[in-house]
Amino acid sequence: MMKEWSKPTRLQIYSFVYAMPVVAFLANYILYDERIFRDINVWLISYPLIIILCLGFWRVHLIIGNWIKYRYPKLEQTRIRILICSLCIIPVMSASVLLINYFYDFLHILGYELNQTDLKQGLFVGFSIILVFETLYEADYALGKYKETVEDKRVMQELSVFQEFDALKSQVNPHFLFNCFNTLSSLISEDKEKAEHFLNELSKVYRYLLRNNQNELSTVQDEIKFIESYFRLLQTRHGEAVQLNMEIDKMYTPYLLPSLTLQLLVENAVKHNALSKNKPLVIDIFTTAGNRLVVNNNLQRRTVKAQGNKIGLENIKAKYELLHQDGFHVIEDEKNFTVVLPLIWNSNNETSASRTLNAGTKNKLTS
Amino acid sequence: MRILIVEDEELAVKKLTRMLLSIDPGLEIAAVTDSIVSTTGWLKNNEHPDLILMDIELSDGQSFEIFRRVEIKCPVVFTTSYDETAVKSFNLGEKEYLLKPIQKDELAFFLKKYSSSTQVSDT
Repeated sequence: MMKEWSKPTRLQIYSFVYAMPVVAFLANYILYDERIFRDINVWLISYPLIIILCLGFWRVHLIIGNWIKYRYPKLEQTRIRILICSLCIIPVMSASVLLINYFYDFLHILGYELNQTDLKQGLFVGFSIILVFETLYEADYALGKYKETVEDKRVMQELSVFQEFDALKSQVNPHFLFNCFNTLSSLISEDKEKAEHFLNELSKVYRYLLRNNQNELSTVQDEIKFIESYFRLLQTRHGEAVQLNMEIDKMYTPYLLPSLTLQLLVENAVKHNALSKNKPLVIDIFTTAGNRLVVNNNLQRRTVKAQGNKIGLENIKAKYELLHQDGFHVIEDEKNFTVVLPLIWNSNNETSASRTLNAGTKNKLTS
Repeated sequence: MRILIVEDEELAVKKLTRMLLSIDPGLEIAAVTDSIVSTTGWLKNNEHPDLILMDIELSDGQSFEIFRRVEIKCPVVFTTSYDETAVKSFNLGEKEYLLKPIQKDELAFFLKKYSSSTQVSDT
């Protein structure tokens, strides 16, 4: 099976088909000079031969060039891509020109004999060809990449709007808030100090929920802090029936992940599992080598399955796809439910990385 | 009067118990169960109480499932924090419910309603 990067693009095929007659003419002109206008054999034998040889060299060039694009695909890597491309393609081109000349000389095709002028001219033509076409291919690639980036950004924003709705529906509005009110109401009569703590955490949680509806990405540090507050609310309600263990390597705190991901996973765990003191629901959140954040819980299915949609999980998955981050996994066996989240390096290292939705999409939401 | 409390949040149980006893210090909390499984088990092995106060969202699912598993021979008043619509959509003879946080006078109303009926049968 052909690898994706070894296939020529449409532009590459067209450019070969259209440029080859001219290139073959130039090559033969270099090899046989004025004879090309007199000797029909040059056209019958050498001309097709050059085309066949060039077809081979063209393929080699493409595989190298496309492989480099495959290895350094990003728009930000354009400089390194062009540098490496030049370093590889120029020697290969030179070798191709030398090979053609020595091949012709070796077989004495139509009485050809090697000379320095031919080599120089050949290298000059070869260099011109790759200069024109590699530039063309690179421009085509970069333009395509640019379009893709713009499109990805748009879809990402749309997804965020969906999640915003989701979050508004599932957290900001009904159940959770009302349940918290109840707990608060019980606490006020049972334990006033606890009630105050609870209310503090509740406002922290809602502040974060509302603010982060607008950000696509948040730092591990912020998400963890938030989930701690969120969990304290859960624990006040469910007591020892729910447990949370966190082990976060400090080096990962500035990394990014899609906002509210942890909250969604913890909420799902509580929603889909039976909680009891004897069999507590244990949620583990920890980082592992290779920039991964893992959320794991023991599975103890409810007697009656909770009505749930997998939209939340699908949403997270889609976000990672748009961010071109591999490594999002959901692993489910009889005992555990595990979600592996790739952490994204925060290249800006500022909160600016958690981009804000533009005004247009916001209007869509409020209208 | 014997009452069964079906509720999975300890805090809510504490508060409800206190409120019940403040309305009628003489009533008996027959038991507190917190899930579909434990409630069904209790109802199968014990004499049914005079009234069940039943939370809808239990730790292992919605409490309506209990009705499919065991025949309940006493009145049930649902307690719910949000979705009273769930009570309405569930096809039961009695559709009485209390919205949480439970108001003392509303709770007293149901206690009075069902204690008088049991007192009649007791005497």
